[in-house]
Amino acid sequence: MSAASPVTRFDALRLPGLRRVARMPRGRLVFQLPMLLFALLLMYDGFSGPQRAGQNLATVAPWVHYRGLVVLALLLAGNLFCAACPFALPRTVAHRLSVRGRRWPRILRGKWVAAVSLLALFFVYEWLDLWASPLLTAWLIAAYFAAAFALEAFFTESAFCKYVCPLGTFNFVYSTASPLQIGVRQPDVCRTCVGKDCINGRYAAQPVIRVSEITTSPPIPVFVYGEGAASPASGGEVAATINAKSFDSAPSTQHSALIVPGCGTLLFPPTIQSNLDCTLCLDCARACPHDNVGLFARAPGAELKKPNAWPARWDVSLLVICLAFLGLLNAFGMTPPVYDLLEGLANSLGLPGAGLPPAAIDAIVLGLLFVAVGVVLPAGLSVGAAALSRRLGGVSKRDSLRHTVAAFAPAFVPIGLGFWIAHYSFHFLTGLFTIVPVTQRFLTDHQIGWFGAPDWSLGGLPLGVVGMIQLSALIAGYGVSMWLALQTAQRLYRRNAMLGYLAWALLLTGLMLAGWWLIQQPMEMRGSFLFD
Amino acid sequence: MRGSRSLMLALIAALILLLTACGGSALPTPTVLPADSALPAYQIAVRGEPEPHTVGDASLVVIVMTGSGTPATGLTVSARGDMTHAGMAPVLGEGTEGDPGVYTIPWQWTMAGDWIVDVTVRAADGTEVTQTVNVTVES
Repeated sequence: MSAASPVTRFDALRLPGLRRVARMPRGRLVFQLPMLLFALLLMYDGFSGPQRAGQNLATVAPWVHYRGLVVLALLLAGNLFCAACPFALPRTVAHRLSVRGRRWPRILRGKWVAAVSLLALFFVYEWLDLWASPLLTAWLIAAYFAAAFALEAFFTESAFCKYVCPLGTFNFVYSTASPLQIGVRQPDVCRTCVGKDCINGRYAAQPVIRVSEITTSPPIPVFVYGEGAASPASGGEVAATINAKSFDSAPSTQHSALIVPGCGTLLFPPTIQSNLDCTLCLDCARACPHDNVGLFARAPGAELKKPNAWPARWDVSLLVICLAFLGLLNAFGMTPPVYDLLEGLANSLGLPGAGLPPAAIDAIVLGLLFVAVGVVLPAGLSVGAAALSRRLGGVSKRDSLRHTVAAFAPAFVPIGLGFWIAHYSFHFLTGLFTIVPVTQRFLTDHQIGWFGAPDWSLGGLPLGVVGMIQLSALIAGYGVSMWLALQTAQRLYRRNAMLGYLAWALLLTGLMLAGWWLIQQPMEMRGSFLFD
Repeated sequence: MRGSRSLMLALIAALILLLTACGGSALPTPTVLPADSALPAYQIAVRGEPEPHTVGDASLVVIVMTGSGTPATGLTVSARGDMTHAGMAPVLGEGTEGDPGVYTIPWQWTMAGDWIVDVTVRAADGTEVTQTVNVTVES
């Protein structure tokens, strides 16, 4: 921490409602409880409702609306969905049980597990056609609750959030583009803070504690103990007495006597450089006894151009780059060429004649596609681009490949977010109003006629409008990515900046062209095994 | 102490898995009929035109026969098409009778992909039969 003046930027936690929620010991429940009830509702409808994806809340709400709202929230505000995460509620119960438990194994404390779980979720989504199955979606939600509970029960920190959760990992990566970030109002307060409650957590022994210095005039009571007299009750000699009236009038604040947890992902607010790993749970703000933690405005994606805002680690860099490629792959799964590709791959491997069940053939060819396009291709291309840019930039001996990839990895956030917005906004906007008749259907199925019979004519925005939004997201993401990569090249390579930039510019342009081609493809909403 | 805590956690985890597993056994039987099911009151054949099915205007031709094999006339025939993917408004249509027992429903495939079409036949006496067909629409 360096000496710094108080922060004067817009602080969302100064807004009346949010300020109150951020100070309430159980304030997160305000957002979590509605989400928990909603998740339970989705499970209920998924298990018991009609097994048509378009008629069931379990498929319409998560796969159409949740995903669209997530990317919009990340772009416009921050990681709001982690803040309100319902899976963290049983996790909290489990966490109480595991306070004295083990820490997450050191060897797994990185983003490798999270990256694999994210890849696995995307794979399962495509393989089992989760978007088409209310039942499987309900099971996925149940599995999520069970996994969050189990991991938090056995490990002390928020291991599920920080090291495993695929949804949270997605949110972490793209919240780096968000315009809000946790910080502190006065860094000097943190410098002198003894307890560091924001990260360690806080326990108030009584509901009222004094937060300013208690007067020493008149003198505070001082007990002088003789040997064997361990407490005032056991015979300490009172050397002075306190003036109870002045004590009562000392400034105080109300606190719950219950524990207020510190940051589950072990972030220390005055040193936070990035939204990576921040769930916006606001536990740090609740735990801080000095009311010194805020949620400050910043330029959207400000951290992406800051050198060293992210750790120079392979797991973080490849996660971000691979996620951009997965954005393309996920959308590619909805276009006709993917079926030709998968069939060709299966035939070339001789799978249809091997006596395998269709689901197994699907899994093999999809798995190969995911590993090739989601892992091998981005890793190979980014390492190749790093090697080329180091050479052309004239710094082959100075910068390692790891540092070069890490320096350019943030440039893949805007283009990746552009891909995901283009894809998810397609479903969200074309199905914008479909949640209405599905909700009506659910209510009427349960003899609740408040909103009348389902109006199945409600759809969404016209495809032409949606297409314009998709293209805008793609172009904007590409433009910002190119600018970020240029900034990085200028910082790293100075006079050779344009040469060092070349490889990354080509890679980003190739990605954008692939995305452009994808958007031009007719969308096919398939929902059945390819090799029936 | 640690051993008892681990045992308690394991029991809770097992309980959760048990409860979620129990939820699956209470699933209702799907209400839709498979496409090739034999229907006691009417036999329904559905054909989409033009074929192969592509995005755009189309029609569903529904041929309804009685159990004795004669054309079933004077019925109300309707259809509802849902995509297998959530988030698409369904397509709804009502049929008009041309030749005896042959009903034509003006239709539109609004998106390429997999569709599930329910064709429902209602008789004046209240008899109602639904036939479900799966259709893949190409772009």
